[in-house]
Amino acid sequence: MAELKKVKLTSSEGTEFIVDRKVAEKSVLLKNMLEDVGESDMAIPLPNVTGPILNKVIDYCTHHRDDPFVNQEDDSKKVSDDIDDWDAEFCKVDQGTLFELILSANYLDIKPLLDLTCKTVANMIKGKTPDEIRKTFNIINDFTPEEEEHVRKENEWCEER
Amino acid sequence: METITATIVRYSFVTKQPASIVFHLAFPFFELNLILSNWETNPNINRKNFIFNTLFPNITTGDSKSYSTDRYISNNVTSWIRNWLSYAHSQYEIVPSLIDENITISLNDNLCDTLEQCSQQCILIDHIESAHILRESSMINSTKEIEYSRFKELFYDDEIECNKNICLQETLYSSALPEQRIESQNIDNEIDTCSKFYSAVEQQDEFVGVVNSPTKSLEPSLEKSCNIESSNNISHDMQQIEETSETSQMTQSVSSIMSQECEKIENNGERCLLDNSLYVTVVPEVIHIERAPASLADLPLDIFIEICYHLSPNSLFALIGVCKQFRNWLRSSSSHITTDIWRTSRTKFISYLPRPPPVGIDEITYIKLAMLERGCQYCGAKTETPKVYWAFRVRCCSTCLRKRITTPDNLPHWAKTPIDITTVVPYENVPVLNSTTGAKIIAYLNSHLESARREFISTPPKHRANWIQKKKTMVAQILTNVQKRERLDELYLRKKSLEDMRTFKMLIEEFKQTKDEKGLKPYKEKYIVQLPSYIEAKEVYRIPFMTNPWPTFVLRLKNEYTDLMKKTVRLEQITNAILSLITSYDTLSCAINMPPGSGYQIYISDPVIDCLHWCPSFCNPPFVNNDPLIPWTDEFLIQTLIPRLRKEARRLVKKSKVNRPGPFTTVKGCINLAAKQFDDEDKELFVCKLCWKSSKRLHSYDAICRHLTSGCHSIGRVDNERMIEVDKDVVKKVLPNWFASII
Repeated sequence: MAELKKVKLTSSEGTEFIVDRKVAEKSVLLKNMLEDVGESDMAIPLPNVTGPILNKVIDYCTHHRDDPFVNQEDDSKKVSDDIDDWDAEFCKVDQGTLFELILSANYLDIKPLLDLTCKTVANMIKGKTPDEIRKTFNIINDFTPEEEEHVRKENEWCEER
Repeated sequence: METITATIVRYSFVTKQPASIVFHLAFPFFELNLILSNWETNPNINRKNFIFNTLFPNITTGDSKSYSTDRYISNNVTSWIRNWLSYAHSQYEIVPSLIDENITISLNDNLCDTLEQCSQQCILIDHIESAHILRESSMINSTKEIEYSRFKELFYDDEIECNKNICLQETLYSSALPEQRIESQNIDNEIDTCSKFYSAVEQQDEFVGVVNSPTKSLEPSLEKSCNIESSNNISHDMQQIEETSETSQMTQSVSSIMSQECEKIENNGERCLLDNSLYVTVVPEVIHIERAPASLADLPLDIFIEICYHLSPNSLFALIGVCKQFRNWLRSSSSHITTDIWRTSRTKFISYLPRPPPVGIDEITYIKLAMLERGCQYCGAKTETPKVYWAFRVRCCSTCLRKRITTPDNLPHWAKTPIDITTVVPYENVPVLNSTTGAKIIAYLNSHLESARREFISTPPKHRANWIQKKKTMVAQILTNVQKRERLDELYLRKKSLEDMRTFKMLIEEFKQTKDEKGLKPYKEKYIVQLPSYIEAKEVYRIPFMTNPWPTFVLRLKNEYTDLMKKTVRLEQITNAILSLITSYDTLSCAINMPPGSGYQIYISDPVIDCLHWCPSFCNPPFVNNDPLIPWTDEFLIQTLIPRLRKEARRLVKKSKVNRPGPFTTVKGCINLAAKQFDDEDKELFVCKLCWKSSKRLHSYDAICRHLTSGCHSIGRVDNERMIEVDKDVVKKVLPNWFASII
């Protein structure tokens, strides 16, 4: 068990990545799989993850390979700001990549990465007005002006003037 | 043997519902593992209606004959799986199982021998099953050769393709195999018909040729574009058959099949014709199932929820206003996930609101109610910290509350008869207006009284007793809850205040003790108390607050201090210039190079000295390019800024002499100045206005009061400003100190 520590992963385009088993096991999906399948030379196809994204995910897992598994309960106490420098640098990517990272983290079941990327998105939302959020994330405003006013009032809660 | 087993391999982090399910489909000829991933967040699926049986009809049959034959497969399973696959491809991602094995295809023994050499990777052989199948399928023995070669062809090609996209291929084969079975029967029939006219060998040779050529042309590129090409090839081959066989019957039947296939190609671009007996469902989406979402709105729901768990209530409110979808998600009153999001946000970001909402209030309302920084819910005023009146469920300032409450003395007649409405509405104890003793009085909210009355009237008389009873219980419940909450809130606030005071003192002390690289303490208390953050923080533990100011407190102090110092340097420039201009202050004046002819003098009685620190141009000095670091030129100071200050000061003095007592012109101001600037409080600074000039002498304030009330003047009540004069010559000695103190 200890000797064979490499795992082959194949991205959606077929690019092959060879990573340490310990790195791959940051993903709960891969971890469970490796435990079920046992030792195998076969590459694991990850058809939901593109090469560049898988590369980033592996970067992340390699950097955090020695982090302990975080308990779900502890998580809720953490505040959105506590992103360390490496992670912050890691998340300095365009929005498309960030969303792909989120989806991959979700698919591969890497909770810390999912948290990190979601926090990054949360920080992008923080302190913005609805209009600024729409601009930032390219969301179409599907409210009619009346509805928008209604929502604004509802949020402000200054009725009965 | 035909079974479908579903294994849940992953649960969603958020919804705790199955996120990925592996379906293991076992058929007589092959087995198939399919994964449904993230189906629970697919907006096309109504989760509530998701029943296994609707997706996967139970196909287990008791009659062994009916399912072990090809006919069964052709009739039921293959059509079912084909439909299912084509349906599923459009809605779900289907990937080969990553959990158990790759898609497993079992074939019979004879096939296996050839296939084993070709592609062991893809195909796992089930010997027991296949032996059984062999017997079953012996009836189509004559066409088996054709099938073998076809399979062979397929799998040889597969090896080349295999590395490129294993998963796609496997999906293809899994769907292709049952197809092949059906179609092989067709071929079988065709051959039977044809064999009446031709020898079996010739027939087979020709047929193999026909079958193989399009297969080859198709295999390398599994793209939609190949459809037309392949059908062309096939029709070309058809012509060949026509020529060689010259059998109209066969041609007719085969071409009828062909035309059917061609139609299908046209109808459904996702299907490719491999040969006249084999379908392959090409689904390009299999590879690129989840493209990066173009915007936040396209993210799956569970990701959105995950992001929301990191957002403060204010950000969530902002999200509600972004688009309809977000609003529906975040304002749903029934969804426990929505409630959970708000609860998490509240406990995480609103530290003073740790308790769950009171009965009858949902999380959103509760949070909105408690958001004191939004000001009064009626007038929106933020000048006064509003109070939450939990019994009334309103957050407002005292003015707005007064307008909306009724005390028992002022109750209208309708509130007393036929029933005492006050027994069915909650009340609050509010401070009596203009009371200094802090006495409180019971008050009811007008809208509560009115709605209770309306409700009472609309209740049929026979139900009224019940209604009153119910209301009373509810009110009692609310009031107990409110009492408890207020006591806890008070305790919590007191505790928090103490904690904050301690933190504040600790941080300020730490800040004062900060040393620069020279080992000096650069931060002076005099300036620290002027910093906005300091003033704000001092307030913090007196009023309920929304934010935790401490983490960045020292940093903010430092920045503000630096800014303040920049301004201070400029103000010093002003005071120095003024000092140098004051008459007979030559000794103190610094060397200002006055342009010839522009010099003027400022007298000690000039209001600018008294009122300098109130002058607008002194409070917000006109910095060069808004940069406090750039010094003013002497010319600007003397010709523009100081005259302007003098003008402003004169106006100020005219407006209100008493409110702004100048230390050099008013007695009151001078007393204050003396207290601050001279160690000796009884410094002799004052002269009696009533005495003759020659007999004037300096007194301390106490002494001059004695002088006025007794002796020659015998004044009953001393009027400072009218009877006492400040001796400017003595006072002006403290001018530099005075200026230093006002900067």
